Amino acid sequence: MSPSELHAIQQFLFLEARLLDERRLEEWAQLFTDDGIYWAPTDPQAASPDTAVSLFFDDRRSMDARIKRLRHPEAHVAIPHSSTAHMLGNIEAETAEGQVRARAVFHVAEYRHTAPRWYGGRVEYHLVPHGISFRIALKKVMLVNSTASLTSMAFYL
Amino acid sequence: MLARPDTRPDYSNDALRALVQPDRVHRSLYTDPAIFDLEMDRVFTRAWVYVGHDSQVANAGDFITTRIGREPVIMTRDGDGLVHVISNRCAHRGVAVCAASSGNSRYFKCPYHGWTYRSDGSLAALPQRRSYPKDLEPPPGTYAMTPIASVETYRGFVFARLSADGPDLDIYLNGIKRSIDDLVDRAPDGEIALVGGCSRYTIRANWKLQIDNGVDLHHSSFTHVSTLDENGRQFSRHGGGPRILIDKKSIDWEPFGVVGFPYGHGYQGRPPVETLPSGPVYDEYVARLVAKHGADRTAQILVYDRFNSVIYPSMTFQAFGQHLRIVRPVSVDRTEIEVYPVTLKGAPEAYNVNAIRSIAATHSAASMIQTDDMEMFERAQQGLASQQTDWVLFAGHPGSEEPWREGGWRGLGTSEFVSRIQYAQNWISYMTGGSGNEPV
Repeated sequence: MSPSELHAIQQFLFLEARLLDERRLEEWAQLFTDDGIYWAPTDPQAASPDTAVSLFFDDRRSMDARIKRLRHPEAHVAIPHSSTAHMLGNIEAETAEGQVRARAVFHVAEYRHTAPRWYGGRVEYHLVPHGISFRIALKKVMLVNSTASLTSMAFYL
Repeated sequence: MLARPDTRPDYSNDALRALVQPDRVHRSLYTDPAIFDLEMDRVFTRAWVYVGHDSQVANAGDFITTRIGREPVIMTRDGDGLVHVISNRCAHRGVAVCAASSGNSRYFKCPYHGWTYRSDGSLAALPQRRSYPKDLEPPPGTYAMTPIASVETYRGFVFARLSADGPDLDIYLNGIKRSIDDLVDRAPDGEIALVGGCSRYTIRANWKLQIDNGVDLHHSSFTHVSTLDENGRQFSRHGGGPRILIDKKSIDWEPFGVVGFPYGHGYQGRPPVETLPSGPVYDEYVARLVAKHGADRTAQILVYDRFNSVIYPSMTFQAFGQHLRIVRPVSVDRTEIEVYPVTLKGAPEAYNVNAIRSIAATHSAASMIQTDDMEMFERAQQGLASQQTDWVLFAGHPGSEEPWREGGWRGLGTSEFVSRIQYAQNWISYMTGGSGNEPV
């Protein structure tokens, strides 16, 4: 992979993070392929969302439902809504079977009320080329504390 | 059981009784750390507390670690197939012997000085035994990971009680056993398993707020309004979710009813689901039930007449929803809840996968429904800091409940009588030294 290809991938991942942080959730969902999946397993060893519970498991349909709900004037857990800042690092990428597999580590700073909360872990992306950019076939978020007892989350990592 | 030496004797029995009135409880039940300490010493020692399901320790040597109130315990299965619940505490210096949340091992070896125990908690090896005085050699069982005094099982659900004294599990569960049956009977093979992992959420709120909510139908029209579609229907993994608003107004919850039983258990009647599941996976599931049990029995099994059941003080579950929850108090204003999807043995794999997947939408810490409840519990904890008024009201539909055919009582859908009974009969009984079910 050439430096310019890696740069394009990084820029795409930064865009994805920025859309979440700017709460442009509908535009963010458009980054996913029609059969794209956002998955945050609870068990970091889980091979599939079918064998163990997940923190998040959204296809485009449930993404749309979640975003619509987060915009609802009486979505109590989003009043006030969370402010987030996503930071990505250690980005690696390779090409496999016509897809780009990217790996990174992330930190998310979040604040809603009371105290800020911090989330961190590893993230994997399966990207498919789309014009001069990409679409996300899979975003898999692996929190370091995915098995811990977590307080309520009304935002995407 | 010895009283904890650091328990503050702030509350006499009379003082405790003054906190619970027929239609209200004092806010200190949710806010005072001294009350929380007493609850851990009196409620969570004298009540049967759900520990786990025997499918979590399916094989000899399997174990899980958990807590009963403040007591760290391990549930194990020994080489003879017997299930034990033992204290996770070394007899020597008190070290928590087992750090893993689950696993398989014939022995538990303390990492500090190597004292080693069997699955039933008995001491198997004591390194450097000869250095201990002869008279340390104890009567059998003295040096052990102490077995919990009372352990009983109903249809695979393992309950333990720290106190040796009290009613048998059968008497304790009474009418709520039918809710457990309702869950287990839905498995074509007549058995369930907890093998789909565990989702954990924390509320910065008192444990009783989760229990109160378990018998509260009415809140759905307000708390969960953001989860409804334009027709007022809540999304559902089965399709055709319950219709909660009609023309933007709450439906009438009264006909659906709530049921309460002795010892504080209860359930909510079926929510207004207009269409039951359909599709090839569901059809295959029904076909397997019919093959095992015949059409008539299958029709009985599939009757959906209860939504959420509560086994006081620490467990709630949904038979149709295929999950159960353990409520674990941490401190007066912090509670951890564990959510387990329930696998129905003999059902099509896709039917069980659906139950596992749906937890992310309904009950995980990031879910679309449970997070609304979590927000309400935390706002209650914030609001109850107010000193302008002392009382939390459970006054809905006074005296409207009637004797119910399964035992206990049934009230209108918005009746708050189950919570009234939990506080005025069960909670106060435990807290003032009773067995958990005398009117005081």
